[in-house]
Parts: sequence; C-alpha cells; structure tokens
Amino acid sequence: MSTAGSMAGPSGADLRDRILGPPPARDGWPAPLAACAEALSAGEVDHLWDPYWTRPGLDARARLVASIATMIALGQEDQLRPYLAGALRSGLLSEEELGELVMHAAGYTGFPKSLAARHVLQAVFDEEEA
Amino acid sequence: VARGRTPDGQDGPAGIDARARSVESISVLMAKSGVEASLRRHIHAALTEGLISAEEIGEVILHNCIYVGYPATWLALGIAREALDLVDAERPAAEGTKA
Repeated sequence: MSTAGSMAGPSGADLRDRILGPPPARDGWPAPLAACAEALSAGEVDHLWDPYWTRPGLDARARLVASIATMIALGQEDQLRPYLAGALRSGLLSEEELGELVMHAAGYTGFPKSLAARHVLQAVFDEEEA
Repeated sequence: VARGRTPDGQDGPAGIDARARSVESISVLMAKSGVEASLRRHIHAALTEGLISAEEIGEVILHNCIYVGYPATWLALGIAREALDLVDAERPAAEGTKA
C-alpha cells in the first residue's frame, strides 16, 4: 500500500548533512586517529543514516526526537549538542519544542540528566544568538 | 591466585597480558558514561608505558562502536585524541605520534 518505498527520498548522507552538517575536518588530529574518525564517519552513514534514517514509516522529525531522547537518557551531552543544534538548523524542531522535549524527559530520566541536557540546550541557544 | 600488575600499578589477575588488559580497560571505560577522565588517564598511561599503539587504540574504539553506539564512540575518539596530544606534548619534539 505504501508508496514511500518507491519514491527516492533523501539519502542517508543527505539527511546527515542536513541535520548535523558534513563531518568536520580532522586537521591537527594524530594521523592514526584521524583515519579512524574518517572510517567512523563513513560507518555512521552506511550503518546508521542509510539503513535507519531513510526508512519510510517514521519521519525524520520523529527520528530526531527519538535520538535526542535516547541521548538525554544515556547522559551523552557531548554528542547531544550537534543534534540539538541540527534540529534548529534543519528546521525539524523549534526552540520551544526542544525546550519541551528536554523538560518532558525529566519525568523519565530524573532531573539531573534533564538539567544536564538543559545546559547543553542553553549553550546551543547562546551560540545561535551570537 | 597469581597476580599481575595493571598499568596504573594496581594488582590484577595474571593469565591475561598487559596489552589485553589495556584493550579491556578502554572498552569498559568507553561503554560507561561519566568516566571520561579515567578513560583519558588510562589511554595516556597505556601509550606512555608502550602497552598499545595509537593505531590499536583507534581500532579498539571503532570495534566497540556497534556495541556502545556512535555517540559514545565519537566521545571516546575525541578523548583518545586528547590523550595522544598530551603524550606528544610530553615527548621530545623529534618523535611525535603525528605523521
């Protein structure tokens, strides 16, 4: 019934670029780790963005909410930041929605993780204004 | 029980060499959140003691990606970079790890 499968939507790399932006240059990284970072970027497209983010059945906005909620719950503030900034950059979620999302998580993760995410969100807002 | 020594000088079980112990420590530490300082210190110590190469550390981190997910893997790779930079800064200029 679904026609979504026959429509060529954005590729995993397109979605990654739209939300997170292209992977940053690794200038100044030690060579062995720069090579690993490059492999990790490629693997992230091949094993995460391509097979999951491009699937019909759940739109990119809902997938972004799921990813952000999971990272809040796991306390991964470091990687949460590019996703929060990407939600705004891509227009998939508004500032108000991100604030609600972080607050909503408090009931499930407890306040400390929600507050940690709130600090990251505030830093993203501050950067947007600057 | 026979005891060996970990790179941090603590007693540890024998029967697994220092390099394997280092791989295991990096793996456990990158799987946990909130222990970033320990991960950085361990990688620094393992490199300084010559237990494992920078390339092997990178590969261990990549290998664990499928078990811990991408966010934790990116964080660990960034921490490894900081540890390598620190090792480089402490070395005589002639023999850096940067190519």
